[in-house]
Amino acid sequence: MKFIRVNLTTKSIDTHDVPEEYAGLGGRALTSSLINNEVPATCDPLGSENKLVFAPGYLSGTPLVNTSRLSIGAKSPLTGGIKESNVGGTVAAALANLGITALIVEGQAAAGTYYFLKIDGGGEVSLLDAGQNKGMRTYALVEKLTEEFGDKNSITCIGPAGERHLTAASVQTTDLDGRPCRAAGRGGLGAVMGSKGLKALIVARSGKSADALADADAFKEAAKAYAKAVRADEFSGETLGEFGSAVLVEPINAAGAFPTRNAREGQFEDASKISGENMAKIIKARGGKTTHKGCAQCIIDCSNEYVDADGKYITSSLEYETIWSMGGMIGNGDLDAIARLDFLCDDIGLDTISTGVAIAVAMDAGYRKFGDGQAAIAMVEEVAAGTEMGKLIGNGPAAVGEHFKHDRVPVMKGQSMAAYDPRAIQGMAVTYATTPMGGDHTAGWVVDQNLEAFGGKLDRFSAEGQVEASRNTQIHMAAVDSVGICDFAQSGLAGPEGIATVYKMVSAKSGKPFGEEDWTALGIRTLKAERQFNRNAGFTSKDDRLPKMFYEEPLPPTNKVVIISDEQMDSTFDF
Amino acid sequence: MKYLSDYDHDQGLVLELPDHTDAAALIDYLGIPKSRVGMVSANGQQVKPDDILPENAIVKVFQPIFGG
Repeated sequence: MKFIRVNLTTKSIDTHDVPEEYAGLGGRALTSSLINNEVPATCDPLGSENKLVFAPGYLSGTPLVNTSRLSIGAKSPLTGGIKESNVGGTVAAALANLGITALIVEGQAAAGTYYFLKIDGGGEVSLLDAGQNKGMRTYALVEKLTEEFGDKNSITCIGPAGERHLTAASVQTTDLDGRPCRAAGRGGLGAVMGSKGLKALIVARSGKSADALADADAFKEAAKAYAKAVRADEFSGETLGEFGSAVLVEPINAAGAFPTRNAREGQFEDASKISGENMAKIIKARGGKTTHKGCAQCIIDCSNEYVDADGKYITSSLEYETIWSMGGMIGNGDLDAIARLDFLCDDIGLDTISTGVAIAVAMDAGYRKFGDGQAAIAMVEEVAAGTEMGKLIGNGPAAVGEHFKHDRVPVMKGQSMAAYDPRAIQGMAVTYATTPMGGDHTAGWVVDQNLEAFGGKLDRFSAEGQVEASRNTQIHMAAVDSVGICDFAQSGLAGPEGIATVYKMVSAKSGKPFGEEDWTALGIRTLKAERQFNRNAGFTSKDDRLPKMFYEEPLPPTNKVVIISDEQMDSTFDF
Repeated sequence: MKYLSDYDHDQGLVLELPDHTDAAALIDYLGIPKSRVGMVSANGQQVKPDDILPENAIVKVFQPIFGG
C-alpha cells in the first residue's frame, strides 16, 4: 500500500506508505480526493501545480476478474475542472501487483524535455531520459520500448497530440497483446502528461506484492460467485464477446438516439453497415478476431482485432463510441475508414469521441462534407503534422466551433457529448449536464433505465424520475470506478445479491465491515470532492446546462427536445 | 438466437405470418422467452409489443443491453 511521488521539476522520487486520510481508497475516490486536496483549483492545468495521479481500483490486484481498471486524475485542460479518466489493459493490474496504490506525478520538466518513468518487478522506480523518442507515435514507441525493455511490461504513453498539449489528447496504454490501443481518452489528460514531460510509464507486469487480503478465503468465495454471475448473464457472457460494445449501434439507432451528422438527426441510414453484427461478420470473413481478450483478468473478452480486406491488422479494439463518433456523427458508413480513424487516434494519442465530434463540427460548419471518410482521415493526420487545422481538431469540438463561429457545438463543460442523444433519452441530459466530468456517458449511464425495451421503467421522453436516476447512477458509478470493476462486468453486481458480493470483497480485503451505506458514501464523497474542486475552479450552476441546440432543435425521428428544467438540473446533487 | 436450431445469423429467417401479426406474437412464434428480448425493431424503428408488423418488414430482435 504505497504512494510513489515523482517530481519532474526536481527529479525526486519518494515512496511512502499510504497516508491515513487515503486509507481504503482506490481508483476514482482516491484520485478525486487527492486532486481536490492537493491541486489549487485555479491553477494552470498545463503548469507545474497540476498533478497527474495514476491509481488502480481498490479491488485491482485481487483475484476478482475484470479489475484491471486504472483511474487517472488531474485538473483537465479541456474542461477546466476535475477529471477522472478510466482505462483498462494491463497497467492497473501491474501497479496493484506491485503494491502501488497511487503514482503521483508532480512538478514539470523543463520545456521540451521528456522522461520515461520505469517501475521494475521489485518496485524500484527510475526516471530515464526519453529525449530520443520525442514526437514518436504510440505504436512505434511501444515497439521500441519492447525491443529495449522486453515484452513483460505494461506501457502507458502519449503520442504527438499529448506532446503538443492538445486538449483532446489521450493517454494510451497497452493491451494484453502489447498494443497501445486502450485509451484513457476523455478530458485531455494526455496534454497534462505532456506538459509534465512524461512520455511513458513502463511498469513491470511481474509484481507479486499486491496488498494482502484480510480474509483471502472469504474473498475468493465471493469472487467466484461474481465471476459466475458475469458468465451467466447473456450480455456479458456471450453477446459482448461476439459483437463487442458495437452491439449497441442498432438498438440505439432504432430508438432514434444515435446522434447523426453533428446531432442533426437521431438515426443514421447506414447504421446497419457499421453495426456490431456487420463488424463481426466482416472481421470473421477477413480472418480478424472477435471475442478477444484485451485486459488482464478479463472473462468477457469484448475486444476485437479489425483487419483489412487482405487480413492485415488495422486496429484493436473497435468500440461503440468510436463507431458512432467516426461513423454516424460524421455521416460516414464506411467501417474500414472508421477502423483507420480508430487506429490513427490511438497512434497519435487522441480521444476518439472528442476527435470525431470535432470533425463533425467542422463538417457541420461547411469545412468538409459529411460522409467524407477520407477527409476525416486527412484531418486527423493533420493533428500529427501540427497544422493549424490539426491543432483545432486536436483541441476538440469547442475549439473547432469557436474557430468557425459555429453555433452547433455539442459540448458540456467543454467536453463533447457521447453516443446517446439527450433529446431521445432525457436521463442522459441530466448526466451530461451535471456530472463534474463534463459531457460524459459512463459517469451516469441511464440508457437501460430509460428504454422500456431493456427493462427500463422511465419514460425516456419525460422528465419524471430522470434526476433521481441520474443521481443514483452517478453515485453508483463513482463507487464502481473506485473499486476498479469494468463497466461491462456490472452484470456481476446487478441486483441485491450481486452488489452484496462486492461489499463482501471490499470487506474481505480491508478487514473492516462494508455495506450498502458505505458503498453509497464512497460514491457521494467522490462526487462531493469533485463538485468542490469545480466550484473552487469557478464553476457555477450555469455550467450544469446543455448547449442551446438540445433545448431548441427537435431531433428527428422522435422530434423531441430536452425538457429537463434548470431547477431540476440543480436538484441533482442534493447532498 | 439459441432458441432456434439451425438459425444462421447472416441469412436470418424469412417468415410468412398472418396479417396483423404484432411484435409480441412474433416473439411467441419464435419461442423466445420474453425475458430474453430487449428490443424489437421493424424496418429500423423500435416497435412495442402490440405494434402490428408492416408487410415485408425487416425485423430485428435484440437481447437486453448494458453499455458504455
